[in-house]
Amino acid sequence: MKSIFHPRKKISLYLDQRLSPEEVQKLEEHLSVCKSCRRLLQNMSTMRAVLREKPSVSVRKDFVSRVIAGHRRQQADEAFWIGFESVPRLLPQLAFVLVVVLALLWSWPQLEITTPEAVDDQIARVSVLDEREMISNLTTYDEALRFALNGTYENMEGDRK
Amino acid sequence: MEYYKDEYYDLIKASQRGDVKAAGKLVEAHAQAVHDFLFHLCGNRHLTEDLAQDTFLRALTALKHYQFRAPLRAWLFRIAINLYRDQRRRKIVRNIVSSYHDNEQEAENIVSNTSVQTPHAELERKERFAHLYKAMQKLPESLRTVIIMRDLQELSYEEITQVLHWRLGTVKSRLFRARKELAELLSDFWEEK
Ligand SMILES: [Zn+2]
Repeated sequence: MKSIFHPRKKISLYLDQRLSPEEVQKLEEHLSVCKSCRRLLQNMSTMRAVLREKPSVSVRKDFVSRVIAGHRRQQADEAFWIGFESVPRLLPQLAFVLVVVLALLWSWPQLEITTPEAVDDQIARVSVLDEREMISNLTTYDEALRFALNGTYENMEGDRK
Repeated sequence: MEYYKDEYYDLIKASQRGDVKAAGKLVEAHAQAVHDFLFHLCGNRHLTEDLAQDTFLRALTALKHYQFRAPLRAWLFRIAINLYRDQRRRKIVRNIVSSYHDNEQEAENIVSNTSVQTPHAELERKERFAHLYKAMQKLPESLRTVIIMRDLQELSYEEITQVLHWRLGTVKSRLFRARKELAELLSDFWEEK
């Protein structure tokens, strides 16, 4: 059996009158002898006819008024935001400033003491400083040595007395 | 780009200047086309109503950017498609089985709600539409979109290239594929008549 070429793509274009007169003539010749292409054309055109009957959804009666009401609300919102139009453009700079401020706050020692544990920690550090200051105030090597051997300032004070 | 003189030119210009009454007329003039378009795209009545309303709200806000490069109708379809796609992305978590069932039911409702002709012709018309409707939902979105634009909304090939940003050759070949697939899906039913 000899296989023949079916110009099916042309059938779609034929339906839309997008073929040249020569192409139309060639296609119509083919259609007159080819049952399967005729059937495709028939089905395509029936399908289009059915589609164009448009038994689709009806538009709600209040559709237009609802859209317009929604539009007015949008316009009102837009008018409110109009003064802030430059904000989005400044956003990177604002973010940078915020990061810097947060970093400063975070590293600020005084402001760090927020929890009871942090307060205790801070007190402990201060008392260590006090102790060091006392050691530096001890005048003689002896005193320093005794302090080291006895371990605590209180003991040393007691020995002195 | 070519300057497209829309038949609603004056209304569009007035709306762009902020004339709400003109905007209302524009919505009224295009409401049915947008509903039809969305309905055939998504196959669900309630979703169609929601998306149609969102389409017009977005369109009215963006109207100042409309430049008459394609008919307003085609421009509205483009907004509608984008909204439909967004919605579908969000829908992924929803139960597909139940929505399929809803759509089946929807097809029945639509065919039973259409106008009455002679009983036999009317019945046949309903059946044909129900079959077309079901077949349509089986097409991939791009094929469904192009066939709705061409065969239902009667946009020209050139208008479709502008709305969908496809090349003319792509429009032609996808339209052919859409019609061929629909014809195949429907041939069993239609040809025995
Ligand atoms: Zn053939």
